[in-house]
Amino acid sequence: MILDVRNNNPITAVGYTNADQVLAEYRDFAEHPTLTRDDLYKFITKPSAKRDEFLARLELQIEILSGRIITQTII
Amino acid sequence: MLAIIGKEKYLANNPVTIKIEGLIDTEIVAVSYSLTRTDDSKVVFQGTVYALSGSTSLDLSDFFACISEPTAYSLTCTGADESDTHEFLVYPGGINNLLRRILHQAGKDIFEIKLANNTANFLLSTRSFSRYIYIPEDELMPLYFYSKGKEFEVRADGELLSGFDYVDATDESLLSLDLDQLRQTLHTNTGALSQVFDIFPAESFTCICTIVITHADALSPYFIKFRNSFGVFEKIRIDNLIDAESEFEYNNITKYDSQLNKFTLSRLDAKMKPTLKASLSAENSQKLLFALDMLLSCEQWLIINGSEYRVLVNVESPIVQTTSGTPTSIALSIRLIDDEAVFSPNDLSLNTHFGIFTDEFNKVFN
Repeated sequence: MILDVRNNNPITAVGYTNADQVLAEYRDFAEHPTLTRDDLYKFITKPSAKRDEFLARLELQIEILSGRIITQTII
Repeated sequence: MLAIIGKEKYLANNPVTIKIEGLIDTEIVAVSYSLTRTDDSKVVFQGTVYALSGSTSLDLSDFFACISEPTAYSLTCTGADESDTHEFLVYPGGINNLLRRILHQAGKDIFEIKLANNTANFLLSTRSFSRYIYIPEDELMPLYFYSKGKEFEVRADGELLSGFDYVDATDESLLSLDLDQLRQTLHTNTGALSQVFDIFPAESFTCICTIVITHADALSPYFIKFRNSFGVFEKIRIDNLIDAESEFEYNNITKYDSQLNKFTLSRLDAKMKPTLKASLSAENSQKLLFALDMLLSCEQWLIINGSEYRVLVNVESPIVQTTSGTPTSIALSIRLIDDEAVFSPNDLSLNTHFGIFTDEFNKVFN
């Protein structure tokens, strides 16, 4: 059986265009001033309660653009 | 004149049917055949088939059940002092009967439509055959494809990330596109974290496939890795994993006790059969179809915090499929393939923790 696939598409993962600003926020959040972009990548791409906390804090400070299928976070 | 009529490419889990024609149609003719793997010239099987009315056919699919990558074979048939040879490629995996019927009625095959098509979604993911593939970020794995004749570019936000050119490749290869690596490279080099990747054929403005990395539906450290119906690995999240519900099996015998002059019970061996319970949430019908592919897979691994255990996943209750996109939950029982006859604590530290029994003693007891 092949079912009709409905357009209840999920929200996209977090994305941004300026890692330096996010990294500065992440260093502040983690209280670790020497964290690198690689550390940020590992943290931001792995779902965790801590990451959700960081994203909630980040969303207060950035502009969010919502599309039909994409929710993209732009800095 | 004896002639072998067959295709150039087959899927291993679908019938590999080859016709032998041109024989004398007034008598029964014995046709001996030999199936040879091309790369090492190993003869896989030799047999004889009888043609009753000038033709006969062979289904060779039983010989290819174990292949995990495209493999070249040649079939040589000899009958009535004539012979012919046919060379073909067998790819792992298969497609379902409904799709086979649809393609047959359209006069096409899956290679033409998808696997060898440079202008369609040629990726071997069974999440979707359409232009869009949605992958939750915690289920992201390399996306496999067959390389021969392919030339394409991967772009994110319009920027070219990488180009691939296998137009001049002579051998078919199973390659993978590691989106996580591409994403990390882009992040390191430009500072952009992308979640939408487009695949374009070379020098074309028409996107053939868009891969969208989506937010994880729920936080769960448990996944099932499996070999999908095209024979490559994919991963799907499971929820609510509960601890093992182990069944025990005892093999007891009666033994003669000479002191008491009577029979007493004695144990030959005992076995523990560990089974875990879990559920799988299908938030939309696309994910449900992907879950069905996992449930039909013969090779499954349970991933717990990065460690993999070979398991067999069984469905506990009937699955309700809806066309309305209503979320569905599937109850699963996950059986570890190993029956344990002995028990060992699995907290072996492998000397990674410093303590009083290691070379590096410290004062803190740990």
